[in-house]
This record gives sequence, C-alpha cells and structure tokens, in this order.
Amino acid sequence: MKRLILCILTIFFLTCAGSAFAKGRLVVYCSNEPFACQAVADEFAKKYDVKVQMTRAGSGSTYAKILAEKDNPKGDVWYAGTLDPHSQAGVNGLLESYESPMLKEIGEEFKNPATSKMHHSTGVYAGVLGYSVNTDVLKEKNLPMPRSWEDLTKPMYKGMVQVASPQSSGTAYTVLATMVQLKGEEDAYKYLAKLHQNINQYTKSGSAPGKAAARGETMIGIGFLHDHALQKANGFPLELVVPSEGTGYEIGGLSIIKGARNMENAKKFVDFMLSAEGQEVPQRVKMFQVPTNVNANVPKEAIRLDQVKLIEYDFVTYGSEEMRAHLIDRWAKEIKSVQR
Amino acid sequence: MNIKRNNTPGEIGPRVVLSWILIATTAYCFLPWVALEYGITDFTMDELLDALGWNYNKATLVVPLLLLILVPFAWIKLPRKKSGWLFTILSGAVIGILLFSFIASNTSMGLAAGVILLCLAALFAIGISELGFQRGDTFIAGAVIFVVLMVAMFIFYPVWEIFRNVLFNKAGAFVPFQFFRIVTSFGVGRVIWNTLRLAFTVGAATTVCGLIFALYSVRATSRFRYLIRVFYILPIITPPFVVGMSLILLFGRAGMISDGLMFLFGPAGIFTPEGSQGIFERSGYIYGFLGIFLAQTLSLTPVSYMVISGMLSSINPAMEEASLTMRASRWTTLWKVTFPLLRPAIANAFLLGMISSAADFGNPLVLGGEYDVLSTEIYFSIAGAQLDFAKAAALGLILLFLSLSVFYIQKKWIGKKSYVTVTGVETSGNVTPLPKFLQRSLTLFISFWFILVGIVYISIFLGGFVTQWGADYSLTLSHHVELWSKGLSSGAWPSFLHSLSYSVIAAPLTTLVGVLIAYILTRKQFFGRGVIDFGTVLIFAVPGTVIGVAYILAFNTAPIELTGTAVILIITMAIRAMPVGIRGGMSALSQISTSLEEASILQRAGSLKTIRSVLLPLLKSTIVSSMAYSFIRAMTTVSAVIFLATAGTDVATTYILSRVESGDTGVAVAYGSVLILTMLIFTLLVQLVTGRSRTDKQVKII
Repeated sequence: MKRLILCILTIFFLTCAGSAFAKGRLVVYCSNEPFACQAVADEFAKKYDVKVQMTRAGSGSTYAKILAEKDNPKGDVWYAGTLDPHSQAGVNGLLESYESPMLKEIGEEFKNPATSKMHHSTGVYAGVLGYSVNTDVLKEKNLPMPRSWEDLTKPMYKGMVQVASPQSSGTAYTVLATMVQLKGEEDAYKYLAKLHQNINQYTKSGSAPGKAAARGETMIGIGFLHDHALQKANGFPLELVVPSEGTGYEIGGLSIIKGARNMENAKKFVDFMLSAEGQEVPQRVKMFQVPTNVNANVPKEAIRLDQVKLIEYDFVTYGSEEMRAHLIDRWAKEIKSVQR
Repeated sequence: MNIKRNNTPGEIGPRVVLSWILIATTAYCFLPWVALEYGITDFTMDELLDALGWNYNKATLVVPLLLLILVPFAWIKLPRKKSGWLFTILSGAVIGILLFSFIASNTSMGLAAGVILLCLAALFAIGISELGFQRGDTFIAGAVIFVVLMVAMFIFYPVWEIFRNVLFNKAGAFVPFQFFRIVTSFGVGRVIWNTLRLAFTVGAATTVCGLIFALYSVRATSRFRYLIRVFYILPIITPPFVVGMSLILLFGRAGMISDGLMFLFGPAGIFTPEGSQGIFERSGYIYGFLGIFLAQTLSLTPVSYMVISGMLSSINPAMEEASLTMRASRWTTLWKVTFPLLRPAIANAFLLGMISSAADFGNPLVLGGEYDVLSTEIYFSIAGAQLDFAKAAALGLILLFLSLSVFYIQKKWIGKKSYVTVTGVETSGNVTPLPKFLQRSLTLFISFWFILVGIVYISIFLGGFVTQWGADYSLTLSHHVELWSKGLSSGAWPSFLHSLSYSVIAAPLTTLVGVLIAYILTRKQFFGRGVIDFGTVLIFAVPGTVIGVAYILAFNTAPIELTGTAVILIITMAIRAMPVGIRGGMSALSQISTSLEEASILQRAGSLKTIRSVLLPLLKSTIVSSMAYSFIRAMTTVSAVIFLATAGTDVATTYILSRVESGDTGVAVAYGSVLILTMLIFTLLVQLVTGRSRTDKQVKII
C-alpha cells in the first residue's frame, strides 16, 4: 500500500515537472467543430511553444460562460462560432479591443463586423447558408432537384426536409434571420409555416441535418454548406445547393476576452489565426470554411462568397439580443407548435 | 494501570491525534491553499508556489498555529470531559474560520484546504466522542461525521442550489413566482405530459414483459428458459443509449429493416403492383414516442423481470397445489392464487419502470426527435443556445419531485405489503407448470423478443465494421482504426482511459462509503440519524440529469470550484453508483447477527477492530461484487456526467454521444461495441473469481 502511494506521488510530481517547461499558457474557448479546434490548438502550441488549454462549446454556451466569469476571466481568447454571440459579448463589455497587424490582409467586410464597431471581434472565416440534397434518395423517389428556397415548400417534398431548431442552434437562427431579410418579417413567417409542413424533424444541432442528408436519413438538409462539403468530401452522394433567391452567410468570430490572464499569447493567437498560415489549418482536417485572409488558399470544396448570390446580411440588427429573442419566440409560438 | 486504560474501547492514543495534526500541517506546507488557476493536474512550479498558503497570505498561518496548540494534549491526560471540550471547540472554531474566510473572500479552496478540513473533522470527532457521543467510540463518531459531511456536501448542498436558482434570480432577489412562471410558460406543460405518458406506458410494458419472462423462467417446462437467466446481464453492461442507436440502424429512414420493407413493399418493391405507389414509404417513425418506448422497453424489461421472478420463486408451491387439489384448473389457479400473491412485485416493477423511464436520458436524446421529455429538456436548457439555469433548475425540481413521490409510494405502500410466504418451515411440493396454451404463446412471444434483441446486438457489432450503414454496406476496419490506432492521445483512447481510471478510483470509494452508510443505518441509533437516512433516500431517487444540473450549479464557483476537473467526475460516478454499495451492504449486514459484534465488543475490542476482524471477512464477497458493479455502473453512466465532462475530461459515454450527435454513427457503434465487450469480459471474470451464485444474487439486489 505504502509503495503504491509512493509510486503515485512520484508519477504525480514527474508530470508536474514535465509540464513546467512550456513558455506560458493560453486558454482557448473554441466554438468550431471539435476536430478543427484541436487542430488549431495543436498547431499554435507547436509553433509558439505555448501550453494551450482548449475548451469546446457552442457559441451560445461560450458566451454565457464568459458572461458568468466576467469578474474573474478564465479564458483568454474565443475562436470561431457565429458572430452574433461575439457581438453581444462586445456590446456588453466582455471583450478586449485589438487591431491586429494582420488586419491589412483581411477582407474589408470582415475587418470589424461586430455590432460594437470597436474592433472587439474579427471575422476569421465565412460560410454560406444553403441546403444539400441526397442524390441517391432523389433518384429513388424520382423527384426533380430543388433549386430555390421556394422549391422546398412544394408538397412533393413533404417530410423530406430537415433543419435545426433556432431555439438551440445558431445555424438555424441564421436561416430565420436570412428569411426575414429576404422576404420581410410577415412573409418570412408565412414561408416558414409552409416549410414547416415539409419538415420531418427540427434537430438540436445545426450541423446534424447535413449529416442526416449524407446518410439518407433525410433527403434535404438545411445548414451551412461547409459542414455539408465535409460530408461530400467523405464520399457521400450529396449535391450542395445555393438557393437561387440569394442566401445569408455566417462570419466566424475571433475575439480576445477582457482581462485575459495571458494577454500576450492571446494577441499572438489572434495574429496567427488571421494569417494565411493559420487560416489554412482547418482545411487540413476537412473544415471547408472560406478564409477571410485574402492571401489564404481557398479550398476547392468551399463555396466562395463572390461566386454566389448573397443578401446584404445585417449583422448589427440581427445580432442584437432583442431581435433574436423576438424572432425565436415568434417562431416557437407560430411555427413549431402547429400540427403537421 | 496505564496499559489497561489504553485498552478501553475507542480510546485514542497520542499517535492518532498527532498523525492527524501532522497530515494537516504537511498539507498546509506543500499543497495549494487556494485552487490552482489551471487545475491540479496541470500547473507550473511558480503557480504552485503562489498558491501555497504561507506564500499566498500570511494570515493563513493561523490555521497550523492553532493546530499546534493541540500537540501537547496528545500526551497530557486531562479529564475526559475537559479534553473533549478542548478538541471540539478548537477544531470546530478552525473549521468555522476556514469556511467563513473562503466564502467571504469568494476564493476557491485548494487541495490543502480540503485535506485540512478533513483532518479537522477527524479531530472534531475525537472531541465529541470524548464527550460521550457514540459512547465514546471515536471510529464510529468519525464515520458518522464523515458520512454526514459527505451527504451534506454532495447531496443536500447541490439540491439546495437547485432550489436557490428557482427561488432567487441572478441578482439574488427573492422571486417566489419564478417557478410558476417557468412551469406555465410555453411548451413546458407538453414536456411534462410527454414524460408522464412515456413513463406510464413504459412502466406498464416493462411490467407485462417482465411478468411474461418471470413466469416463463420460473414455471415453464421448456429448456428455453435457461436463456432468460443469461439475458438480464446484457442491459447492465450496455450503456443506456446504445440500444437506441441500434434502433436507428434498424428502423431509421435508411435503416436495414426500412430498406427491407422498401425492397418488398416500396414504390418499386417486388410485391408492389405495377403503377401503384406501394404501401410502405420511408419515414422517421422511429424518432419520437415509438422509438423511445421501444428502446426503453427493451433495456428496462430485465429489471422488472428480476423483481417479479424474485418474488415468484419465493411463493410457496403448497398454496397452488392446494388450489389444484380443490379441482381448480391451472388457469384459475394462476389467475386467482398466483397473481394476487405477485401483486406487490408487479406494482414494484411498474414503479421501477416508471422511474427509470423518466430518468433515462440517453435514449430520448438519441431517438427523441421532437418528442421532448424532462431529462432532455433540462440538458438543452443548459447545453443549447438558451443557457437558462433557472429553467433547468425548475425542470429538474419537477423531475426530482416526480421520482421522489414514486419512491415514496414504493417505500410506504408496497414496502409494508409483503405477501412472501416464507414461514420458516421447509417449503415443499412441486411448482405448478403453466397451462399448455399459455406456455405455447409465451414461447412464441419470447422467441420473437430474443430475435429482436439478437438483431439489436448484432447490428451494434456489425455497424462498427460497415463503411456507412444505410448507404454503403462494404466491410471496413476504418472506424476501429480511427478509434484505436491513432496513438494514446487521440481517437478513442483518451476518453476510454479516462473512463477506466475514474471508474477504478470511484468504485472502491463508493463501496467504502456505501457499506459505511449501510453499517451506520443498520447498526447505530443516534441523534441526526434521520439526516443520513434522508440523504440515502435522495441518493437513490435523484435522477442523473438532476445531479448533473445540481453539480454544475453548486460547484462552478467559489468556495468549491470543481467543474472541468476529473475530481467532479469521479465524485459524480461514485454518487451515482452508491445505491449498489448501500443496498449490498444493507442486505448483507441484515443477515449477520449482531451477537458476533457484541461478542467482540465484550472482549474489549474497539469498533474499528470489530469491523476489521469480524465484519469485513464476512462482508468480503459483498464488497468485491459491489465494487465490480459500481465499476460497471461508473463506466456506463451518462446522464449526470454529460453535464460535467469537458474536452479535457471526456469519458467513453460522452465521447460516443458526441459522435452520435455529429452523425458519425459508424464510429459511435464501433466504440459502443468495444465498451460492451469490455464490460462483458469484466463481468465474466468477476463471476469466475467470486463464484456464480453470489454474483447472481448481487445482480438481483441491484
């Protein structure tokens, strides 16, 4: 027994000694897919010899975490996730203003996209909203290929469309906000009511419909197309559709948390993630978002923003808390509760 | 003279006092006084130095100095009362100062503070035992204090935090109507209704199926029945959501059975007349009530089987023989004699099925679709974009109330109505076989059941070797390669090793505390026993999701900040598995006559000595098997740990669930099958070591 305790203590102190050598630390809150988070953290840790601690959670949860830790911040930098929660954090004074020297390489609309306009957040990637269609199922059912948002409401696609619930998913909120900006609020809810008749399931996670479409669990899955491009690259029979009326897009945020304990490393991380080199890391693990650094290689699987019809997505208005609560509440009351 | 005095039961020598003080001072010198900023497993020397008490704040030196006052009194023999007061007051005061300073300064306790608190509690126990508590038996006094502290800290305090989040808003103002606002808010009523409806139907279905299995295994004349006795082991070793996952593989839109039906009856099927649309169409019928119902019935029936078969085999055959000799038919006998005798077991099985269904988290998460139940709704109010702690707490309260009331009914109403016909007289006579027609139809039902369960498990094991279930059935090793051959720091290894190591630590802990609680509850009467009693009721009744929410609320901020650490996961696993230890300990202790212990006490052995040399040898097999099943429970638990596991501390079950959630069914099933195999081998090994009959009994107790 004594020997066992001695053994455990020795191991314990050896691991402590082992961890004592790295140059400083960095705590990253990451809202990207887990494997992309890991790849980015590993790459940064290797390059700068910094001990990186990564915590992955959805952007909504991460925002709440940062808010809860306001007086005693635990995290240093917040990477990825839809911009809205980053915006809210900036407005509520939870983020540090930082103008990275790398901004000169960043596309104009991504330099300072957040609501506060104080350089609290920078766009680190972009992704186009759309849907993907499982071509095997399409053939089996002998149905025509849908091309637009309007097509999805046709009765022949009844029970074949899947999308996340905006109550739990930022992706689905982008769908909601896109519709409102495309058609005006009243018409948007009329459209969603019609679409509701064709939905087979509202999933919790925003990337689930794309994966369900890949497996044939649904024929059509709505979501960010870079999620779906990953499935297609894995060999699934998917066709990605950018709806012909035009569509919305997301900007992935990158922000430094106010009062970060490792401010120097946090700035280094932001510089790194805005450089072409940093932005090309996720591509290697098949995360096909569009980089915002103009010099970075755009993966051929990604859907480039300049090649598709995009709406002027108003990140300021639709990123506000009131608008968000209003739209989601209305959706839950008027759309979700209706019998199909 | 002196030697004799040292031999008094429970008398403590200077060594005991000194060693506690020594441990406390050592902890003060070398362990972090405040919580390390980056966790106990990952720190640099500078951070450790900064966190040490004497470096952090000179005022903390008060604690070791006060302790040093006690050193001389290890030798100085004061009259019992006086030294008792000295120890009690001094250690009590230091505990008070310590807790107050941490709460007032809003800092998180480090390891040293925790160890010192434990030592102080021990000194406090020495003090009050000198004052006469537990007849001066220090070991028992210490055990009682330890158990009370543990129950207070890991059960009462977290549950109180749930109440606090419902009763008070974020600013700390009292909002008594918040609960009603949340409960009457949009959608919550439907969730409660969904939960109740599911719980009722699953309870009824598992009871009926369990009854069928019990009748068959105890009364049927077919050899088939031996299979049933094996099958109850399966759900114990299967993580709760794996059955749900395989139902997707079989009945999902792209599932195997859907494919088959599509091939036969679909629009282009071989049995479909030319030009007709066919009678079968792919749809998501499995996502929702039907799917959860099926998965829960499949995985919970063995529990109700165990309850009912236990009682059925204890019915005295003479009663039925009497009925038969009075020329009643077998049917009448079954209906009028056997069933009424079984009534309490049937009610018990029904209630157990209800509780387990309402508390189940994995299956609704995997299969729920839009059928929201309380447990998943709690999870998504914290994990989703809403992050509404008040809502999670309020829903948790409802679920807690639900399961506590069912538990109460079970204890008060059924606990007293025992129709067991054990009279002490040797039971004799042959068991009455089932009516022929009944046996035949039951055989049919059970064969169908076994085929279904067989397909479920085959699909789990095959699913891991198929490229993409539903789209590409070519065989592949890629899922297993992805999981197991990418080094120890990626793929499945980290989560698997976490699961193993946490469970290995949690199992002996939970068994120790569980048996200790059982010992105190069965053997000791004292003031405050009700606290422990109520604590155990809560340990039994609190659903995993509620524990998860409560721990997040309670241990996320100073003074006890544990979220994100391995410690909280180990504690959660230990608490979740504790019923195993308590039940095992209680049933074993109730079979050991107290006269053995009394004899030992009369020979002037202290209670520690008595437990060590009389009870422990008798309890050995109970301890071994309850440790084994605690380990299995810790490995397969998901509902509570899913709230607490983070990227650095994820365990096997949470890893699998995250892969399910992101749609990688192949990988998830591959991992699930390895987990089931590991557990199966482990169970067989345990049975080999401890002997079959004992483990059988143990399984039935669980």
